Amino acid sequence: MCVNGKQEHIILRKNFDSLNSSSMKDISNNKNIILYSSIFKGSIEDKFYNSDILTVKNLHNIKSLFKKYNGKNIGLEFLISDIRYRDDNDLGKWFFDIKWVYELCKRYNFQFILSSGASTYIDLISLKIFNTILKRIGIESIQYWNDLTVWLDNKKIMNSL
Amino acid sequence: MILYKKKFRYACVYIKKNSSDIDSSNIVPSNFTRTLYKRLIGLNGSVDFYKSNIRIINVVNIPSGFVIIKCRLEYIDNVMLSLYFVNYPLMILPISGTIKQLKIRIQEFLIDKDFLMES
Repeated sequence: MCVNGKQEHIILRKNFDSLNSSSMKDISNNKNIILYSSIFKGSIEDKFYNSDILTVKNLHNIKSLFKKYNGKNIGLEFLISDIRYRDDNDLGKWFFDIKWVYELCKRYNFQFILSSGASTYIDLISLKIFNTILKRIGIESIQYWNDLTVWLDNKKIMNSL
Repeated sequence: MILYKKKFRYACVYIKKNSSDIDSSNIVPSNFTRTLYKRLIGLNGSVDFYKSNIRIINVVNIPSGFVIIKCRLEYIDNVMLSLYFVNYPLMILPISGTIKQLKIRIQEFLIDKDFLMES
């Protein structure tokens, strides 16, 4: 994740589940900000208290998740690559659901994050298309990018303490 | 009654070579066209589909694998969105108002194509 292209503004991300002692040491030596991420698959029993970003794979129990972690300032991430090849009905439903989730994020103090989920160049998404998706969901792109920048800045401050 | 000149935009996509729909003569794959149109109708409705005046155009002297799409300026967002959600291994190149400019962009893309496609 890079906010404005400068080296010091690069934000590293580590999957919380894949952390071991050696990688923890590597991370502690790193000067960049590190955000820990986990995957939410719909089970509310899983604990995410130490996660900065939750990648949502299933919307089941999502409202309970909001209530459980209310005010923890967690980033809720949705991957476009997960839905890219779905049929029209599923896509339409996703656009509808995601708007509802976005409003819940606002209400429960979560940060809504939309990501391309790209692992190859084919999956990459241009800013124009990304902003079109935001617009189609019903999110002002300027507000989205501002909110994300503020959230990352807050995480940076918290990490430096 | 004032008549406005319709403005169009050209979008170019590169479809990955190993896709079975690309043939050697660089004829636009009919399956791709059908899939794109179906997606555009599915996402935006048939009224917007016809309003967009979307066409896949044949341009001479473009390398194999590239498809050029023409549509109304007002509907370019819908078309780009549908292109992204089409179930094809493709890369969307920047849009342009002229075919001449698009050809320049294709040449620029070709410089890095091998690097991009290998990854």
